[in-house]
Amino acid sequence: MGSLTRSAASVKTVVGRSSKAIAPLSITSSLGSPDAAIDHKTIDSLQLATEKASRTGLFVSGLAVKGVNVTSRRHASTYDVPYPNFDECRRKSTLDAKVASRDTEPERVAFTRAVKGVAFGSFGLWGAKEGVQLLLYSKSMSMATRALAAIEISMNDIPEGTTKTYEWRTRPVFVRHRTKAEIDREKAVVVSELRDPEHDDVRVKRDEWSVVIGVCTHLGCAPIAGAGEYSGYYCPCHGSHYDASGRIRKGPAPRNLDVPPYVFKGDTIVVGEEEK
Amino acid sequence: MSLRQLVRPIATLQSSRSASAAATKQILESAPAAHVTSLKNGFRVVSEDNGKPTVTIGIFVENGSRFETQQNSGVSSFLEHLLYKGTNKRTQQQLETELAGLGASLSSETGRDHTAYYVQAASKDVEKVVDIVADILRNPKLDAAAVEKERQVLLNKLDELEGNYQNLTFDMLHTTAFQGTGLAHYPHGTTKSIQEITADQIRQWQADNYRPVRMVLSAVGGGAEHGKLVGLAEKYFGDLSNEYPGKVPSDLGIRFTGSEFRFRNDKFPAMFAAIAVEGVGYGHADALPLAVVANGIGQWDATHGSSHNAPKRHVQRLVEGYGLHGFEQFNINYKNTGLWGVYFVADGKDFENVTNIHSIIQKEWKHMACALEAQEVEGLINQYRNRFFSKVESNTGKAKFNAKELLYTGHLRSLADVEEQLSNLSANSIGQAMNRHIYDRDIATAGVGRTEGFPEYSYIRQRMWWWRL
Ligand code: FES
Repeated sequence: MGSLTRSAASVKTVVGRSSKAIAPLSITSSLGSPDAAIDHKTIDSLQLATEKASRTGLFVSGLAVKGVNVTSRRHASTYDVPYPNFDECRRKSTLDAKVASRDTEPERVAFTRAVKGVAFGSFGLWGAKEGVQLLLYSKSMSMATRALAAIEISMNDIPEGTTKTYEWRTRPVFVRHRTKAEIDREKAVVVSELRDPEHDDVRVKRDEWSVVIGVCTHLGCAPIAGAGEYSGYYCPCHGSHYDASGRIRKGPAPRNLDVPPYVFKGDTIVVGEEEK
Repeated sequence: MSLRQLVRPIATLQSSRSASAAATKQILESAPAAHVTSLKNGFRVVSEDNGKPTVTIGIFVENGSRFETQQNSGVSSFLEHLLYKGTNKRTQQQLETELAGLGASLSSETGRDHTAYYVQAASKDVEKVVDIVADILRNPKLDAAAVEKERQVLLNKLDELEGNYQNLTFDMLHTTAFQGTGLAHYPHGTTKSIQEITADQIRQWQADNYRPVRMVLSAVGGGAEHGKLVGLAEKYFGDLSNEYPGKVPSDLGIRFTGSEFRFRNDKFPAMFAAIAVEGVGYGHADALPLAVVANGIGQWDATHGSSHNAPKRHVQRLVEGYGLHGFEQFNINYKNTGLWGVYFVADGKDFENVTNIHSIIQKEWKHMACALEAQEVEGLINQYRNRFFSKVESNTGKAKFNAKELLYTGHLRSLADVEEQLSNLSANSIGQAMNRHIYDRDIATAGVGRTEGFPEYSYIRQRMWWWRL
């Protein structure tokens, strides 16, 4: 008897209990194991019984454990639960169990791949466009450079007695086509009485045209043209009044409105260009 | 000149390495060669005479649970068990006495796709052993009383098996991964099938499956001289007819299904889990790289001496308090398909712990697929070489290897061939194989025991790939 041995007795301990070596491929039989149906003296069963006893305590549950107490043995194991058949949910191409799933894969994934391809493809195209744009922008004029550019204003667009607002270097610029009355009034102002003493002559290049930057020198609001006590500009924020030359006359602002560099070219005013 | 000096040592290093590889090959080539002969009826004999005082003679039969149906599930193993119960010439008692007299030991195993019987004996007893084995295989008695007796043994065994959690986990893994195919069947059958199998069915099974084309006799050891064994095979098996009285057994499919199986039972001591992708068949070109990687990922359990200081980075991370008791990477090759994955045991007390274990192992897989480096490969190959060559060192190990080669691929690699294939592996070829079979492939998962914290399928599946360009 001793000459016939079990083959898979090599034991690797995982979880501190013994189990068969990992390859679950084989079950073994042995001439050496007794055949009595209810005798649990096989190597397997003895080992198992010991493990169960030491795990749960012999007197606690040992007797109820199947296989240790023969009378309580039941033939209903996990192995007897049939695995459900999922054929209904399968695609037609995978119904044949003889075909490796790998072989039917290209067809099965084609649609999702296509959808993904379109989705990610367009996403990719957009991304590529963004990338290119980013590169180009980095090579092109910077914001600062762009802001330095000059703007051209057609003088014909501004009738006498009106003021129009333009944007230059991200700031508003007021261009005022003054009337004779306004010119006379501003020229007559006594400079010494002003908070920021400047004669109208130094603030304009042609008497008919006053060009100022529309940013209140107090805290930076945008004044309203043609309003206020001096019928020049009025800042609604804290009540600064400017005259038609853009000089501060009343209110909290400390300085006159700034005059940007500009030149006359034919019938246009070019703001942002210095006189040569 | 200085450059030359720099270059020189490296050059010598390389040449010495290839010299040693060449030496290994020479040694392997001079090892006793295995010879293969196919008898007229298709019965194959492979033998290798290595001059040792002992010999292993094995007969491998291609049958097993993947050829069975729901109704006769377990019949292969039933038959294997019954073959020990005596033949028409010898009673069980006589068999035992005779083998004991020779000091020989007979063992057998039935798996999903093969049954193996092998005898370890003294080299002078080759003929006697073949005589006994042939008698067992060809003239089993299979009488009703023995069948009934064995039925009870098998039913008991079935009960016991449920307490073998590792086995249970692997069986469930097969059942879900290969649902609807023969590989889903349990090698030991179900209660119902074992209760219902009749002696006639067993006899029929033997007639259908134990046919010469499905059998290989493999002998390794002293006295396993090829001519002699061919003669013996001719004498004892040459008259076996290759005709199929019943139906030709079919393997009932190889379809792998990405799926999940969970069997929660909080009375079990831990969570037993396995995740696997569809592996490759034994003869597949990628079988070796996948085996090398699997072996490299290796195994660890709480009884190991090393933890944080382990040589493997994933082991170092795995032991970081995730309640892991042990893990083992496995690589199972059947004839035309396989399973490749990891088995682990953990407390399973906490979802996060379990997902961490999954992630760490899967990260290692992805690393092997995408980021393997040359020096790592050398380590992996060396580890595999050690494992492989020590496995085929024994007579039995080599006999199994030879038989498996023939049964699965129809031809035989010598050890030098294997060495050659091994040394041809590179980071590139391994990475490609990993990408073909592991990276972003569907998985089958099985969780048994305390599986409350077992992550759902999509969670694990999602970790089979990386964001990468
Ligand atoms: S900001 Fe214009 S008055 Fe204060």
